[in-house]
Amino acid sequence: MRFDNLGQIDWIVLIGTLLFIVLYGTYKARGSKDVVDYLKGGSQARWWTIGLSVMATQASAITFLSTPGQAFHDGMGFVQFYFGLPIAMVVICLVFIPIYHKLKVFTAYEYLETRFDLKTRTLTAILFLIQRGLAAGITIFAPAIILSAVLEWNLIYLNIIIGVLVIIYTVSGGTKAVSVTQKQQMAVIMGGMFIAFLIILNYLPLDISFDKALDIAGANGKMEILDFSFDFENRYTVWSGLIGGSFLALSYFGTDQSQVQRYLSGRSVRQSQMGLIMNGVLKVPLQFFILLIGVMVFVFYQFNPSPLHFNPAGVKDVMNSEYAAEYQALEDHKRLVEDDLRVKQIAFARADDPTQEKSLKEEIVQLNRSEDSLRSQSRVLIKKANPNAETNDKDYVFIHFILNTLPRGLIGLLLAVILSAAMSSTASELNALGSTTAMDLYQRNTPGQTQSHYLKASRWFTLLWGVIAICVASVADLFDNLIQLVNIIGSIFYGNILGVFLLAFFFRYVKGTQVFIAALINQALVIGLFFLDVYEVINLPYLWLNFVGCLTVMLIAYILQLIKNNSKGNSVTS
Amino acid sequence: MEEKQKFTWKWSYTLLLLLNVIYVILFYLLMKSYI
Repeated sequence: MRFDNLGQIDWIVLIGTLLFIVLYGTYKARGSKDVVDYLKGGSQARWWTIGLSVMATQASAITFLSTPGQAFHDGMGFVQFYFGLPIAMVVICLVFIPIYHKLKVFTAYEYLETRFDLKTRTLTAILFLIQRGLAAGITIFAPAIILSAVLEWNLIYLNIIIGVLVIIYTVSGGTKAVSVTQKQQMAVIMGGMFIAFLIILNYLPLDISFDKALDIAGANGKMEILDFSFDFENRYTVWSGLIGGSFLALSYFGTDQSQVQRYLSGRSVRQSQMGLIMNGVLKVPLQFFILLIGVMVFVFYQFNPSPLHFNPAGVKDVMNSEYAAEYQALEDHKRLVEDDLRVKQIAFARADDPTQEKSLKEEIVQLNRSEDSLRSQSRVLIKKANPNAETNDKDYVFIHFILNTLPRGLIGLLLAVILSAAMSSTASELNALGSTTAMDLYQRNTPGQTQSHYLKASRWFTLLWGVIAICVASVADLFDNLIQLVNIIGSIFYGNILGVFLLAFFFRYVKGTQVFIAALINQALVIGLFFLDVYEVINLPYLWLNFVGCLTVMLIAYILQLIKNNSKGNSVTS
Repeated sequence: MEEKQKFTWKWSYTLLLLLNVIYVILFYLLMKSYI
């Protein structure tokens, strides 16, 4: 484990920021008297606390590591993924929040027992625990694997440190500690990202204005924000964002306890609704801003040398193999392309004749294509050197920029941003996992105990899930893009759970047993569809699993209810 | 839960959706300017 790759000032900023947040959160949220205090923060939260908490829960470290890398390689199109979110916010404000508040539920699944029956409540709670338990592990693992690779820190120690810091305040202070710390974490995150953005602009050559930087990005296809095509192959289009994105957001914010618990802590229906509206107003610009940082990092590397492959573990693999000379030749070739690119970019920035600008633009695009091709060849070599190696280096682009470009002190701050984001999401997840286990499984099956007994049980369950999350993080293995991994797990389960909730809210005709059977059949069906896509039997991008899963569970439940009612009608007639 | 739930539309929902439509229009204009 190396400690010398950060300066003293970085360590002070990093440790100081994280310790302050943990200690302040633990102190401010001490002394919960009962489960209402512990699981709903005493139902005292105001709208801005709820809004920040909801945003901090969704924005994990993956968001800040992967998203700029995504923009670096593929441009701004990923922002379309969030277009459905405001629609989902309106539906939740209109339908979900009034019902949850009216019934004074602790968890979203508790409502399903009121509407259907105990077995449907238990099934959805268990589906939530499986997917969120795994996701909590990934939330810790994602930044840990990246930081361990670039800083040569021990992965297991890093998993344990992140996990233990979160456990300290989440177990002791519950929901209130989670929301108190999330306010500070959001301040650190937004402050750090804004400073990083200004620094990148400042590091561009003097004659490259922001406008010119956007021009360079546009010339290289990074400003293709909107895609109105109906191409199923394109993962991010306006339509997949609006339809798939709103279903995913509706399931995540409306039925995932890690989000539901944030707005259940509101002091009134209005405060909870305003919190979600705040999220709907800020989410798209926030994602746009993070992607823009990635695009500016791309522009920065048009004038400065960048590695052929950003993941140091992949480079190490290939350099220790028989392919080292070939890789070195690719690197040498890239340096030549880079030098040429730099000269052309400066000429493009200074060009005032449109014809000259156009021809330079074409040459720049050509050079960037050559660079992309060299990067692809490097990935092939890495794969040959180590067939198990992860060749997708999107997650390493921004952290490479941070560690190799930013001044001392700011590196510590940006690392604090990443770890704060990891902690804020993990805290909400552990808080929700503990609450669901305590209320939907434990209290429901062992009624009649005292408040302090359930309070103690909630704390123990939160601790247990913290330990499970650390264990999952320690055995997890990286595949493809990390942000996708979390979304895939979500997409497999969310559609089904959302369908059950929509049946509960809007289809009074359908009853509990039919919903329960439909949910079981549907879950198997969605998992089957996912694997058919993996083995290329069908073409169904994972984001559509939310949509399909939601519709099929509703359809199956409706048909089962129809059959039951018909057979009942027939037996009465006969 | 058997009683019928009433859903109340608020002006803030309209504003939220409108604001997001404006974001998309701005993205479109931005995209057109730099491609």
